[in-house]
Parts: sequence; C-alpha cells; structure tokens
Amino acid sequence: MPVTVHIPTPLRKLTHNQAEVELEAGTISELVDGLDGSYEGLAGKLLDEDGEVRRYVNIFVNDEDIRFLDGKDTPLNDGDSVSIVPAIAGGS
Amino acid sequence: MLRIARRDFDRICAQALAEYPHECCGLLVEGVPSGVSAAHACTNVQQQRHEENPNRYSRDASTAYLIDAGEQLHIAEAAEKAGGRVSGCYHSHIDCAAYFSDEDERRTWIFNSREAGDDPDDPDAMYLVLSVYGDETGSPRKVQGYKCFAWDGNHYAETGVEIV
Repeated sequence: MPVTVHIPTPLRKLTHNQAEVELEAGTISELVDGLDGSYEGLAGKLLDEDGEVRRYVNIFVNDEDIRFLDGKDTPLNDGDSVSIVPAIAGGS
Repeated sequence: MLRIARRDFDRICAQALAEYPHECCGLLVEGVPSGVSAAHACTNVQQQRHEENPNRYSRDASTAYLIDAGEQLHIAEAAEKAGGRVSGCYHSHIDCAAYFSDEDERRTWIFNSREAGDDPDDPDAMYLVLSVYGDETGSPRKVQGYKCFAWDGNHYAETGVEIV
C-alpha cells in the first residue's frame, strides 16, 4: 500500500489539481524525489538550495511534524498519511 | 469583509492582552452557511524557534508570529470536515499600529512566486491585525485598534470588519 500525500491548494497546479496523490517511498527524502519525478518542480517548492525543508514549509507524517521525528530521514510505512502545510507567519 | 461574532472578537482581544508583549495569533474559520468567522487561538511558536535557532529565526515573538503548524493542521482538518474553511488568520502588533507589514505580506507567498507575478498562496484569506499597547510603554495594556486586510488582485488593501 503506498503513502498518501495531501497537497495544499497552491501546489495543486503542479499535481494536475489533485488534492491527494499516492506513491511508494521509504523516507521523506524518497517521497520528495518521487513527487518531483511525477510532478516536476515540486521538490523546488519544498526544499531550499541546500536541500533542506524550507523554513516556512511543514511536513507531517500521520500528524507528527518531521522536525520532531527524523527530518527528511523520517521513515514511511505503507498507508502513512503525509501532509504538506505552508506556515502562517508574519510580524510587525 | 470579515464577519466575526462578538464573543470571538472579544476572545481575540483578551488573548492579545494576555500574551503581550508577545504577538498573539490564531486562525479564522468561516462557517457555512453563516459566513461568520470563528476565532481559534493558536500558539505562537516564534519565540521557541528564535531561542532554538536565532540565526534562522532572527526575530523574537515581540515582532513576529509563527502559528503552531500542528494546531493549524488540526483546525483546518476539523473545519473541512464540518463543511467550513480557514478564512484567514489574526495576530497582534506590539506597541505599534495595526497595519499589514512587509513581513506580514512577505509570508503570504510560500509556494507561489511574487516575483513571477503570482497571486499569494491563498488570495481569499483575510488577515485581522490588532494593535496592542501596554506595559512596555508605561501605559495600561489595551487593544488600541484593529484592521483587516485582504488581497484585491493587485495588492493588500484594508477591508471591513463586521462584528455580529
């Protein structure tokens, strides 16, 4: 069973308007690579120039923020649910 | 036009006063079919991020907010299940006016590219900003004012707030 990825609205133009996509991946890194292979340009939206998850992008695996797991090395299991969540931020 | 219930607006003001001198923040969830937005208080994790990594998060919570993404995810999921949607967010400015700052504006383009002429990520979102003055200025802590901003297709402009 593959992993289900929930795509936020502004990225759906890259996924042909699909709100959810499924693919096989063993880690978040593999997932990002797989997403970019299927939907060109997605990796650039999620990762910075150093290959790290962008500061204002959050990735959750089954409601757990990967920052508090193993980051991009966080393992994925069949049936996991991955959510990409753009940060809401600002200031004076 | 933001329509918000009086009790929710009052809760936002109370939160802003309680969290001073840090900026408070939360989400606005619009119900269907009422069109009235409810306030969902969120944790401002900016201070924690700043203390953990001041190079990456140079501002502390007195001049910035960052909504706890886990809370954001749960609120958005619950809103969708109920047939509503996240209609925007609110935050407070500390010892300065209620305005849509460059920082506020910059953070509405996460995935889309402003340089490429894209709209913000959520062009329908409304941003309620409260101005809170208080102890740091030597005067009693109070909400001095509030304004709401929305994307008009070209830039962020003030929009009305109806408290119902």
